[in-house]
Amino acid sequence: MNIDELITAADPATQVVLDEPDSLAAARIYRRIAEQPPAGGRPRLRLAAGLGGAVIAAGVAAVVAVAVLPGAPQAPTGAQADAVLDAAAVTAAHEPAAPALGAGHYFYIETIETVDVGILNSRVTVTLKAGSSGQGPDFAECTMARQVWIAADMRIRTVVSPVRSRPGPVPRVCEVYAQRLSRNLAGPGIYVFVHTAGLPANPAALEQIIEARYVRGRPGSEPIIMSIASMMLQQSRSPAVRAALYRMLKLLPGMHYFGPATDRLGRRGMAIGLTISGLRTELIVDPATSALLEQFDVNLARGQRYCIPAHVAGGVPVQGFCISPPAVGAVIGYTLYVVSGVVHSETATIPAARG
Amino acid sequence: MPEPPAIGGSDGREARFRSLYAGHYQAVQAYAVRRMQNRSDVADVVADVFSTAWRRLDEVPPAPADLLWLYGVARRVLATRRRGTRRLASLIGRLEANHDSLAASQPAPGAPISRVLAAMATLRPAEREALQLVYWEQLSHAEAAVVVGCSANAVTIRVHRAKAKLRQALSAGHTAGRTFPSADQADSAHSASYQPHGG
Repeated sequence: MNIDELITAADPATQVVLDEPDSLAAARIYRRIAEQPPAGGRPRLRLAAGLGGAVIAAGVAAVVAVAVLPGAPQAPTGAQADAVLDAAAVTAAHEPAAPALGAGHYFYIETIETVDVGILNSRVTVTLKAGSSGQGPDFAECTMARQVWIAADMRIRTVVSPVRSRPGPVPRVCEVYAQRLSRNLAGPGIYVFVHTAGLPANPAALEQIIEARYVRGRPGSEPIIMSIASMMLQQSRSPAVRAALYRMLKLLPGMHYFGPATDRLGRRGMAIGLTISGLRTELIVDPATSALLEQFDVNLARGQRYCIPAHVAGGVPVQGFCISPPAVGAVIGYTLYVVSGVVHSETATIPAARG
Repeated sequence: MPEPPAIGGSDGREARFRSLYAGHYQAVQAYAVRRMQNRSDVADVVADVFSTAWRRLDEVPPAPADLLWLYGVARRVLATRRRGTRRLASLIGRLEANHDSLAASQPAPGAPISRVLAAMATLRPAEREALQLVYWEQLSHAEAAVVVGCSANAVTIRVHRAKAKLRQALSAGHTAGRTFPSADQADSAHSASYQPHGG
């Protein structure tokens, strides 16, 4: 090769696969830029000054309704998801600021969640097989109610109790696991406490913080970001931060609107979510109250039957068993955000609203 | 593709930016890839360039000069990052665009291409940039002159000198067997004020 050919051949850009303009990476960068104000510093979204919050929320909710109700002109589902999130953000921003927790006051959070207790733990497996209907370790998933009381000095009391999610007694393994989780703030697979103090009321900055603290560059991070944002929405008591969290969700590429939805407590809302690697993560949001009602995952992948042969674990013979993959379309985990608010003792609760 | 969000401003303004982004995203990305050692920072640079374009959309000339304008911004963004005097990453926050597809594939040390890259890294920055703009971005000398802000004649001279130095280096074998430094690294040697940025 002559010198011209050598220089041309040395182009590093020919050694990599560049992202297409319609790739997820390009879309994500575009969304970041979309949060920047144009020349002159005019913000991307400015609410009309002087209007009451309720009026604004009602107006935006009406826009959402027009955008998503059956029979209305159909906007792209991404735009509809943005409309839902915008409406929830506007409502959240105009909620009264929560007073600081005083002595003897606690911030109370209640959730109901499914928890994977780990089917590959042989002792759990034995327990499960003994306690189930003989169909294998299908009780690997426990449904737990979790109550958390957070004091002003950040002392936290947690009570986790198993919930019967199907006919028959609660499996023993779920009771044991609930006891363990009651002593453990950050149990695996269950609602964890996230620090919300000092969070910025800026969507891009919030995503940056979540990525730095929890994601750390892992690919396919959108469901993780959704989960952490959900927890922050439940635990943050700042209207501005909650509004920013809803707007941050708009930054996630691939967010779609799935239509009106009812959560497992019968509360009505609107479902939005995204699909990553055969798993669709959805949130049910009520834009009228800014409440996040539920998060759940839907399996969309066709898995294979997975069998573990008989073996000896810790000197204990373990019978072999097979696990069937979840069906396509099956909900494989959920978190119900039941209620949260300030109470006056570390045992007081708040009645949950039902649909 | 996920539905891009609306960007505030008039429809015409947004439409123009969308067109600019879709039309030149890969070119700007390639520009950054060619000049950066750390591929994970490419998304930051791309975002910085297009953020600037969004803020200053009224200044972006019509096609085909718009791409040259973007290259000029990218050049300044990279120079600023190298100096480390301003943290452009704070402009829009740390970006986590998934660049798995930008799998780095550096040629083996000692291969002809590695030797070319090693030799290019020893060029004066202005000569190297002129050479890259002409050979890699495939710009004419006049177009490259717009990007770097000099005369077309100056670009011609820089390219000529750069090629002469490359020929000399390659024929002398001075760079054989070396692992090529990136432009980032080479510039750090040229600039006493260079400080690595912390990401």
